[in-house]
Amino acid sequence: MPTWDEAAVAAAAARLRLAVDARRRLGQGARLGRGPGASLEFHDHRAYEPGDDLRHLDWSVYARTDQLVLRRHRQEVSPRLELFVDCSLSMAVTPAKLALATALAALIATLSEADGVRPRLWCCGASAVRHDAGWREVLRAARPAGAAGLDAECAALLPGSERVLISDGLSPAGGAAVIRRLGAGAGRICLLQVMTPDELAPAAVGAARLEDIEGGHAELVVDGAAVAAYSERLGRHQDGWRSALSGRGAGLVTLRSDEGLTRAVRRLVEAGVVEPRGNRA
Amino acid sequence: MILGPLAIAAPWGLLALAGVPTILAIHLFRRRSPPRTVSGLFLWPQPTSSPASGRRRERLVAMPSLWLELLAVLALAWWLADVHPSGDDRGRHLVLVLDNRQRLQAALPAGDTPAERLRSALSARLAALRASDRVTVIASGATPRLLCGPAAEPAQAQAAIAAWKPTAPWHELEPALTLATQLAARSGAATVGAELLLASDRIPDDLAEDIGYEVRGEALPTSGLAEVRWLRDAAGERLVVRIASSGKALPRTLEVRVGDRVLVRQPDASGTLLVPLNEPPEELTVALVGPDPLPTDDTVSLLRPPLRSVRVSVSGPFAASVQRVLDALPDVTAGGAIPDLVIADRDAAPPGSWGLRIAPAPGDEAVLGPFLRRAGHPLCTDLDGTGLLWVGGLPRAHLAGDATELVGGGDQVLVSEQRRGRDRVIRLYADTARGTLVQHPFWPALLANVVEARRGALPGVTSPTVPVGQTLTAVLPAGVDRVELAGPDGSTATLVADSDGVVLIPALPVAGDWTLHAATPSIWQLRLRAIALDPRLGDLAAARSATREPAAAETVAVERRRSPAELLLPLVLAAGAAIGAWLCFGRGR
Repeated sequence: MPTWDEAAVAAAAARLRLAVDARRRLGQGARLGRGPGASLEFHDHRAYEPGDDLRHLDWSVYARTDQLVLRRHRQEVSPRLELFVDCSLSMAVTPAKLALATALAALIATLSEADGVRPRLWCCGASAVRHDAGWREVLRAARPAGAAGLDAECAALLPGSERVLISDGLSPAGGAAVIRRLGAGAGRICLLQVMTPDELAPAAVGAARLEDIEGGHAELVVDGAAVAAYSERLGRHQDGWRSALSGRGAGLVTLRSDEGLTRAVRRLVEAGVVEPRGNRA
Repeated sequence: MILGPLAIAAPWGLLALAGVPTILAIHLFRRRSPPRTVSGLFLWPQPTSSPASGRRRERLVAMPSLWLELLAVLALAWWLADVHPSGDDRGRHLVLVLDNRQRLQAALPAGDTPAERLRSALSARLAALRASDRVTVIASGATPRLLCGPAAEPAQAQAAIAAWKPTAPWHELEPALTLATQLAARSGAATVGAELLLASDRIPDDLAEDIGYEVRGEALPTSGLAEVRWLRDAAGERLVVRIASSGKALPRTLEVRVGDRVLVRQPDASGTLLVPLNEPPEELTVALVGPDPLPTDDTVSLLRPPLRSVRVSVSGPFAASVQRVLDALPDVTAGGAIPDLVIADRDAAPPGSWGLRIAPAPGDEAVLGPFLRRAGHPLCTDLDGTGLLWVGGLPRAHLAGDATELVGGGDQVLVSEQRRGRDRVIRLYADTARGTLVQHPFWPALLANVVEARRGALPGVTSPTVPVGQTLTAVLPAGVDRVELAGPDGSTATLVADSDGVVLIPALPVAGDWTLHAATPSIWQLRLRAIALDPRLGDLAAARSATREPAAAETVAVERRRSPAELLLPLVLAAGAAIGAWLCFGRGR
């Protein structure tokens, strides 16, 4: 991958931090897990079953309804960040797309380090390669290759880690399949979808030979009907991502590659992926 | 079709060139849309239809696939039309007649044979021919056969001549020359389309002027067996050996051998010899020992003629007179359970036997002659009734309808014959006690004819050794009406017998052991041996060496045959170009 604008990333990182609860920022148990556990934060209720700890009975519910109901709390996990960067050929369809994706990866990694959490970087090109240290060098040396991207098999994911995916999300298998693999055992997970303007809203150019940068081609008349069909399919594809990411964090954040890092950071703040430093309690 | 230096064997094949404009049109009107790189092709709809405006003519792009497609079409047209240099369609036609007689294997003083010299001379002659010339090779024989062709390529003729080995017995060359003339498409005396060349060891006497010859031979003194026969008669068994010599042949020793054991050795053998066989074996070899350039006629192997005894049963008042005659005949024995011939005064022959009934017919009229006999009938051979007084004849009106009169006198039938399948009943209407029949020579002559006719009807052959090219007859056992004839060369033929059980065996063409075999109703087998002896075969006196070119014939149109390279090269080229175009096209997509 090309170098990114390190000054811009550093400037943004100076103003931002990852959007997490300050009470859980440091040490073991600083992050909330997905499942029930022993933290102070309420998770849900369930019916009492013989053998359950009576200390967790919700006596107020019992007083009102005469039903034995257990009060459950969310699990506390260690703060871990896994960053999945799509290094397939589709990310290099334009230089701007590649540059923005790289800059976002550098920003997230920098913010993670600023929180005292060393990020684990996954470069997902033709296959997925894990890097536990030296993310800068890895990002600088990475070259887009292959077509697997986020579909590549990632072994030994960290249980309870927070996971950020940076990709165009154009996996033929769909977001549900990707999240089913990469979201298993994760704390929160979100996708920063970097797309070119032409991918988001292609122009009707007439007859064209569409050549997929990752292989395959089709002779097609790109007219209004074809563009409408594309947009409808892209919308459904993105809905698939949103559905898969629902309730698991910031969800799907779509970013235009031509808008630059500044505008992208603003969208990240709006989506709750990052937050200004002054907002922390 | 001639196009300058090129000829086209199949002009219709040029239709394949229609593929050239077709390919150009395909490339001219091939839709080429501007490429557009995308990263989510699966999101685009599948192409379902062409634009309403149709295809437009585009700029012709000289891609590798275009050139390879054009090359494939041109190569295919080349193969289909068979484009080749003109001149390959015309050539000379040489018809070679090879003298296939064994004497071309005579050992010459130089250590080679006329056949080897001819092979060299003919090979050089064939090598000088052009590839478009054609050659027909005929091997002489009683039935000439084609060794190569008709109108084959010189290389094929070379191979045929290299494999040629003269092994045929004596035969005339005329059938082969006649066949050659027919194949040469001659019209009258003028050679129209071919040149005729005879290859032999001598120049035939009456060879036509327009037939050339290539003869390689040397006049050498030779001697060999011209004829060998194994006789078996009342005088015993003996060999008749005739030795033919040409020139001042060296003295030879005649040996009669059984395996490695020499029965008879006679030095300086020449002319005709009679060799008695005191203890005759079942098979023997007659050989001439001594230096001789042609060994093929120096040795012959013969099978012993079978003993064909006739078992005769005699009864009646004339028995003494009959027995006296039978005692004088060779290989006649008495009776047996089923005799071959029953001589009695009544019809007493069982099935499978012949009967000779001697009895007078009612009436006392005597016949003094003249006596009439059926000419040509074997039972009537040498019958002479001069001075004979015959009593007891049958009035002709009383002769049975299925009986044949053999001898008659006046209005009486004296001897008649009646056939019952393979059996015969011969009736002698005579009163042997009256008249002069038993004292007349007519009596032993008639009895001898009957016995010999019966002997001739016994199963088997008279002599199992037969010269090549000679027919013979064999009598099959009762109940067998067809046999299979198997030759030493593996040939087989089925022969069907006539009503008397006699099969005519055609002339055996090859020397060696032949077998007559019948599997039904019972297994029956008979071995025959064909020998190739002819006094003309070993005569090398007229052999010589000379060459005469045949009358030149015009070149004629010959059927073009493509060589393997001419056949495969365009196909391989077309296939390679087509595969290359397909790969290029696939890579472009």
